[in-house]
Amino acid sequence: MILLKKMLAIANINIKVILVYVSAVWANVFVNILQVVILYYIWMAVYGGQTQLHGISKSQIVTYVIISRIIFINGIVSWGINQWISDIIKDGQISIEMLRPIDFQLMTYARRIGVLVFSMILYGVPVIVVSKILFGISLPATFNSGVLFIISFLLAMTINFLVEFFIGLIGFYTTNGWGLQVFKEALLSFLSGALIPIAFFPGWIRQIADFLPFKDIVYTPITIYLGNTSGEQAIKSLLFQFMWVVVLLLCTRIFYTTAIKKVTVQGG
Amino acid sequence: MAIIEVNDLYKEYKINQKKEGVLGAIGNIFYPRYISKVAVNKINFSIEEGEAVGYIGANGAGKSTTIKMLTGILTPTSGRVLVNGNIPYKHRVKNNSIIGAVFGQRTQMWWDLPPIETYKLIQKIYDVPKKQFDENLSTFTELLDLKELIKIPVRQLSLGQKMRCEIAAAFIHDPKIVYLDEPTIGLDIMVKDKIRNFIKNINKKRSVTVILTTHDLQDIEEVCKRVIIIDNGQVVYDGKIEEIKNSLGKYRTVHFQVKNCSNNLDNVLDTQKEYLFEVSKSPYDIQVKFDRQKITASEVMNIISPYCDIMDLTIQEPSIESIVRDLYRKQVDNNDFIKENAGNCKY
Repeated sequence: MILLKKMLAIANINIKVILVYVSAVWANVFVNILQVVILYYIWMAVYGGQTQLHGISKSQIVTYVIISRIIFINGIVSWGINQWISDIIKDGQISIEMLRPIDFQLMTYARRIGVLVFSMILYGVPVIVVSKILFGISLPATFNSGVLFIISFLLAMTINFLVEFFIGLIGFYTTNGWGLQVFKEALLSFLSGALIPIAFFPGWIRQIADFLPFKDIVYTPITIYLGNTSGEQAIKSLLFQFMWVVVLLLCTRIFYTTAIKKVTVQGG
Repeated sequence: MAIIEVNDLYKEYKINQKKEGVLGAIGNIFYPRYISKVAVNKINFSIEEGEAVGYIGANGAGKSTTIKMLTGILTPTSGRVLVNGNIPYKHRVKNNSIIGAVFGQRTQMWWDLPPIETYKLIQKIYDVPKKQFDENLSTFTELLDLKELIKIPVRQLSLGQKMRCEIAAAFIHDPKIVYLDEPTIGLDIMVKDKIRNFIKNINKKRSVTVILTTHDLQDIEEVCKRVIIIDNGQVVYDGKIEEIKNSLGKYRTVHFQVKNCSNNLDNVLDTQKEYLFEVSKSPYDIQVKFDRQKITASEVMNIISPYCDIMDLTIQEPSIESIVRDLYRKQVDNNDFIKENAGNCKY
């Protein structure tokens, strides 16, 4: 309970930082909407006269594009926790962050999830409102898919965080975060299904993507939303997501305990 | 039991020795070469609860490395640190909840937000009762004069204002131990004074253990009773600040402004060599260092006055700074450095 209170306080203060820069907020709202509009016309051109491609209908792809964009911009492209970890390693601020009375990984989790969920609401809601008016966006297929989507979405954000955290720790060895950010973006935008639904990939890439955790960040929650994965299949997807959370948590934990011993604080 | 115990603490850094030129840089990727540098070399000390200890040494002596090992940021290569019964780098969260820290060149406050937001966060993450927090906040606001500052975003504060807020942040959760790593760096006298008084006050009233590193020896003189001096990664002195002042500081320097000096003065000064050491001499200015346990200032005057017209004179007490400088210059054994240092003054 106390731990949760601590985490909420950390999330809260980092959300406040976003709101300091009002013009940046407005710019982001605008960019989010603009990107979705552009993508809508690209996908309409891709579908042309067809109503269905690889099992995804024309009306579903609109919803897919809108939701995946919101996750993509605010989750994957945004300079996530990996960039922050690299930065504090580089400028030595990590020594301050390591003195907070809460586990470092839990603190970064609170920080990231707080900002992520908040910015998805802040920037996502206008996008959804505009797209609803302009293109029509479908609601979750059923009530159940709506509930399962929310669970899947939170698991997805946790996986996203753990991947970012892992990449951030590499910064202990490279002391440069920018290259890692570019690497993360390239890897995730492709293998998460944020750029193109995984169903559109040729067979062998799909198999690779299936084998990796990245598809669970974007593709899995949206297919649940659309109802393309439902019932037993959806539960199985959630379990897979959960399994990845556990696996990645273990990996990052082991990596973290090794990396933290390597801390050589820059400057002084 | 001591609140901080340090036994044979040893830290060695591995430094990647980069080769020059493009070829060297490429070679470095495949065959990185490391040299190791000892930062802290088997030091021992223990600190009791409520003590205020000055931890001083030259740049690169190993001060910050020690502090970072005490706070758990760095893992020692070997040796043992116990803080309140915990090993800091292993029981991180437990240790962090009883300490506060200021690193002079960094800030723990949120850059874009006013300090009050950071304080509120501290209240929540250290789980400080609301009433106690409010009391601390109002006390500190008064002592450090923060009333106007805590609502201004940190990035708009001046260095001195920021440091005052920073100091408050380090103490506001009633920590048992506070580490202050160069808290007065780059500040003016007024702010320094405020900060020193605050630390002294809190240390006394709440018996918070304070460990202070600084290059400003007045900080130490005013705040600390005990001082640990470190050089080349080793403790060269650990004891009361008065003791070091008394034993090393038994010398005084008299500055004479003179006229019409006789040439015999040199010979006379030479005969008194045992307890009178001429530091420098020019036609209008003589500086003489003397051992005040063997000779008084007026006696010194009586020796010199027959040979010169003394226009003016000032007597200078040794600053700790000059004592420490002597220590820095000569790395000596803790036990007999006083003896050696005394010999050192003659030339």
